[in-house]
Amino acid sequence: MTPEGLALAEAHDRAQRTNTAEALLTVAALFTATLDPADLDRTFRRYSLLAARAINDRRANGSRLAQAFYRALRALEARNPVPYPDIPFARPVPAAALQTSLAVTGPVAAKRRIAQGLDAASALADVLPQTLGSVSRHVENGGRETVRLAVKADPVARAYARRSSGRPCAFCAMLIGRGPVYKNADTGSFRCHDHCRCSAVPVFEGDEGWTEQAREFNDLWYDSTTRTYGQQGKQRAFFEAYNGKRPPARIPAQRKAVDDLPKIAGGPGRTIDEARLSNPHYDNVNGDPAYGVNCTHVAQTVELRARGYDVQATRLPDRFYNGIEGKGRNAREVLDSLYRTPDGGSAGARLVHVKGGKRGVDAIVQEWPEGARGQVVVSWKASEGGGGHIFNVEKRGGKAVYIEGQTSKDIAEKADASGYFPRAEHRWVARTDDLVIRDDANLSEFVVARGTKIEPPSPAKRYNDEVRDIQAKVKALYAERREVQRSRPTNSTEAHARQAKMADMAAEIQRELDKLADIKARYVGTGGRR
Amino acid sequence: MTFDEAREIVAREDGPTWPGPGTFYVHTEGREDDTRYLVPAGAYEDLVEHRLEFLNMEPVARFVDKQTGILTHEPLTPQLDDIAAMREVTSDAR
Repeated sequence: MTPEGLALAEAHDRAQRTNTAEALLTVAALFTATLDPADLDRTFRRYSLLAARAINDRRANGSRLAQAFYRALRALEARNPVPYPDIPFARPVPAAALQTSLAVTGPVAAKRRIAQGLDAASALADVLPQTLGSVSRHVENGGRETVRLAVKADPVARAYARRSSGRPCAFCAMLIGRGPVYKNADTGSFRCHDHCRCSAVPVFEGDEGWTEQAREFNDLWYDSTTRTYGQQGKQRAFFEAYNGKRPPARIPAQRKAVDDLPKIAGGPGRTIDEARLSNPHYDNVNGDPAYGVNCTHVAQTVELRARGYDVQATRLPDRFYNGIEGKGRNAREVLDSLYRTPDGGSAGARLVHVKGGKRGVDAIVQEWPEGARGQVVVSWKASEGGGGHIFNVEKRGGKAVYIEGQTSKDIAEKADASGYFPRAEHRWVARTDDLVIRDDANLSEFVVARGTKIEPPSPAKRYNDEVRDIQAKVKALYAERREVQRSRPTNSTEAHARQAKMADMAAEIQRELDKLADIKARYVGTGGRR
Repeated sequence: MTFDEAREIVAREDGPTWPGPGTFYVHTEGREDDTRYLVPAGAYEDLVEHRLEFLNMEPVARFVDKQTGILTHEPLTPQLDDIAAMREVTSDAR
């Protein structure tokens, strides 16, 4: 989120607080003026009707405030906002539900205190904070519900993130630490409690959506639960660490790998437009082949650029490729080495095998929120060489857009990776935009700041340069030898000369082939090994 | 030169120095054009069993020149268009 967007969110929080305060003042006044401690049952009806009306009026006002906030933030943050005139309005709380809530936190709670020996007036005064906590939840849910519904229906909204304007309770901190994951039916409901100060902030495509607060809580979750198993155990460990009852398992004081990456001025760009900047040293004709086999690096570069980091891909390290043979990197290992899931799980385990060709992958991406990104692994048909490739995908305009970043050619010509699918034998896909970059990620092996000059020639480049001339010479010798072979000697002298020349050429060819073998022997063993 | 002769060259030249992981295997199906063969080779676990943990993410295309028998290695993915334009060829041993 941009600083302007954050300021807008903070202003919206303040407006909601003011709106809630109005509701609390009104209900507190009604509570005191209309509820008779000596006759709670008879006076509750009038009190609850008036209080319910005040609550729903303020709730409606909160919804209007959220609509205005959503509209303004969308105009500021969404890269390609399609028209979205009908931002939903939060429905009023049903009268019966409000009456129950007001009764339970008012007269019912007061009667319990009276039964314990408290006088009626003191009992009522004692339960007023409970009532006001409940009122604040009903009123503030108007704004939260509006944002939640708007995000759910908005094609350019990725999700909403939870934020708190105060120091939240441990439970809310845990939910805040999950980051911008709230959109679909599984994650979309806004869980809150009385007196809760949390709000929902929409996150639009192109925005990473992680606030400092969310990162802090996410780090604490990761640090405090790494040695704990089971969801309940992890929650308990987090709550204790958050409340200072025990230190996190790991001290999160080290500098994070991601801190060293430069940022793209003006925030993250649209992934597909950024792809061509990811591997600028790619040159399939005259360039260094190690930039043609670095797809595992390029896919991470495209992802990092989409997160706003101004980086380009490095070539594949020598130990993975020597120009003759490459072991390559394992896609799962790459994801695991750089990222983790928000709850500390394996990023590589997200790669799932997909049946049904491109349509199968399309269907999975369809389930993702708008603007979500991922990485696709394909294996080529064995008869066409085998091995595999990794590239990026982004959900844009409701559809999967497949992006090839391993090219510096014209983007319109080369950046569309969807043409790979008919050539693929198998496919795997993982969502990556919501992964968290590991603190200890060795990012410098995968990316460098954009604009970095080409690295020294790789063994692959040096090998190619050494063998190219010899290979050409052998080819020319073969052609020349064929010509000699075709010649027809007219006498025995010519026949002897032809035979001698053929023998000389065969020996020369063998000498050149031996040179090639020597060069190869020098390179094999220097790279291509883990 | 036949496709099987090209396969033998690949097995002879690349087999002993195969860095792994997996078991080195020269595939029985490949491609050809007028001047060269494409001879797929690599881990059996990748080429035949299609196991993700053996999938070489930076594969090389092995071309054997039909005239000279010279084996060359080039990054495979940028060659996909050229490879698709080649004709299918199958080993007699299959």
